[in-house]
Amino acid sequence: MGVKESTLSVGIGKLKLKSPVIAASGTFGYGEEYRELVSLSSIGGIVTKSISLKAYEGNKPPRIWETTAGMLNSIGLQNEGVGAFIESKLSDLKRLPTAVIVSIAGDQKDEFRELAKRLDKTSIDAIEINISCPNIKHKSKSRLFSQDPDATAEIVRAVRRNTKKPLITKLSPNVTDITEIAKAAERAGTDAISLINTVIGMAVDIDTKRPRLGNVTGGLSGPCIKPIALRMVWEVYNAVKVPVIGMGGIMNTEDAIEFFLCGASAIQVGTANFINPRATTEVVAGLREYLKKNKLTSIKDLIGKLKI
Amino acid sequence: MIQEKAEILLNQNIALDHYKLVVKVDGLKDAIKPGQFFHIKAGTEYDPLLRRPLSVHRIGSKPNIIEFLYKVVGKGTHLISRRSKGTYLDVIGPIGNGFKVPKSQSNFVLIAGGMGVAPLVALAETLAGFRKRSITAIVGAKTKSCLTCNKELKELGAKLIVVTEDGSAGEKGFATSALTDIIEQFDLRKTDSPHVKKDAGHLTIGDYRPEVGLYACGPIPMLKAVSKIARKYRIQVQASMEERMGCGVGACLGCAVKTKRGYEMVCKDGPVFDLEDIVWE
Repeated sequence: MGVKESTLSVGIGKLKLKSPVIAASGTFGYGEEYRELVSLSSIGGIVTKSISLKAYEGNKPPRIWETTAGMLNSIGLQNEGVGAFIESKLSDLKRLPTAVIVSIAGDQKDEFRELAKRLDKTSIDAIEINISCPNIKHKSKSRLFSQDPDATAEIVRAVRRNTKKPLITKLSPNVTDITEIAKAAERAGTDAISLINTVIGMAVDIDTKRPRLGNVTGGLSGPCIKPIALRMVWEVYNAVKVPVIGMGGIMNTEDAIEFFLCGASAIQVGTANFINPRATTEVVAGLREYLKKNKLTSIKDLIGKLKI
Repeated sequence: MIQEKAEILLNQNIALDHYKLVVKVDGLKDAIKPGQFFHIKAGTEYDPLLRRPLSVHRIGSKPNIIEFLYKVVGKGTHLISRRSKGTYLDVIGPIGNGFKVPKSQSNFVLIAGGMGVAPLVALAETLAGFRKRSITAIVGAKTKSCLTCNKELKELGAKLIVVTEDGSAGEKGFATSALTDIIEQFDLRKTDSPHVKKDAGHLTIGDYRPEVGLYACGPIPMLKAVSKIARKYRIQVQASMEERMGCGVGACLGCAVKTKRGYEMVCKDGPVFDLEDIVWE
């Protein structure tokens, strides 16, 4: 039986996950929100809502607009700041039966460096660097840090120098060549690449002639972005040596398997949690069944096995 | 809060685009409070993707039977309206804080605009169980055919005041036009409490009059108008608010409303807010 259980475990650098299914940042709060609805003991980890150095108020509502098979959001990284996070959220998070990955965000390099220092002293399992949120303005020549390979490398390097925690760098799909950014992050010392963050989009109310979102533009997520995500995971898998964590519109086991075949070593489930709070655990169960049915000994036997 | 496949006992068209939905939720552990809602998966495909929040309309005598009143306004509610008796709806709930009902209070004014009447009937149901109380319900609607709860409110012992935008039933106008007259009936000016500062910037619990409780649900312009009138008389308004919702559990931070404490979430901090705390944008 022990062998059967181990078939889903994966390593993302030093980070060992009991299964390759992770709840994505911004869709799972700090774990406690879903406590009454789902048991997290089978999933590999959760990524927290992004934490910044100081509190962010968040963007003007409306922050959500539903689109065909997807949704736009412009939350704006509302959070209480790293100090309040460590003080009031961390101990509850650590009690969850799964790995805790803390997402960090900021509008300049120094903030990322400081966040890394503060979190390095805590008991969290890993850090995900969010340089790809489309809903905040920051001091960089491009709209997002992750649209510029130099800015990407600078931030990853600053975080790397200040923590020994496993580092995952989360990339934006809103770029011309995703491999160029992924390679920059790899050279700067990231342990893994996660992608994709949301696709920048808009929706308009034709009666009022106003944008549907208070922040005008927002990030598109959900099943409608899955083809874009798969293509980018495949491209990055073929361009870097570090593990790739795939995400973007994963709703069920079949979706997750597509990502493994395209080269993902683990996957994140995001928007699906809103519709089905048990989405992550159902994917874990589904993967277990798929491996058994196909007589595979490990999920690793699927990674990058796309037949061209 | 639980997630369950709830059996549909009734899903009936009661007026143009208005439906009554009755479901059986077996696993409910806690009693439902008026003002709470359920987050309902409308279909089985990806369009619409998100759940739809529907507030509890009748709690009823059996603890696991819940009634909703909804109007078909888009794809989600249209899909719900097509679901037939005996099939199952994926529901999450009960969600939210609900209306607070101080036992000491005896005069309750309920003011509803449009579908805002749905949760206020659940509140009237709770209030009807109190021994000494008066309930006045001001119900505003576009037109006569949208008035679906008059009989229920009367049966629950509420004094009913109907206002329609086109004058097809009751007075012509908005629900708020009837509010001042109702409040004046409580003779509040004569009992002006001396400790209340006339120019108080922000009213807190101690500043409110104990005689009357005001409960509101309806569109934002209505809530703004209610807030202005209530402030003049120093009456607390508990209002059920609405915003586009993602998760329904406080994780996505999508359904934000601006309050004096910063952005708060309709699903987790509300849906019922003290209107005095809302910052109108």
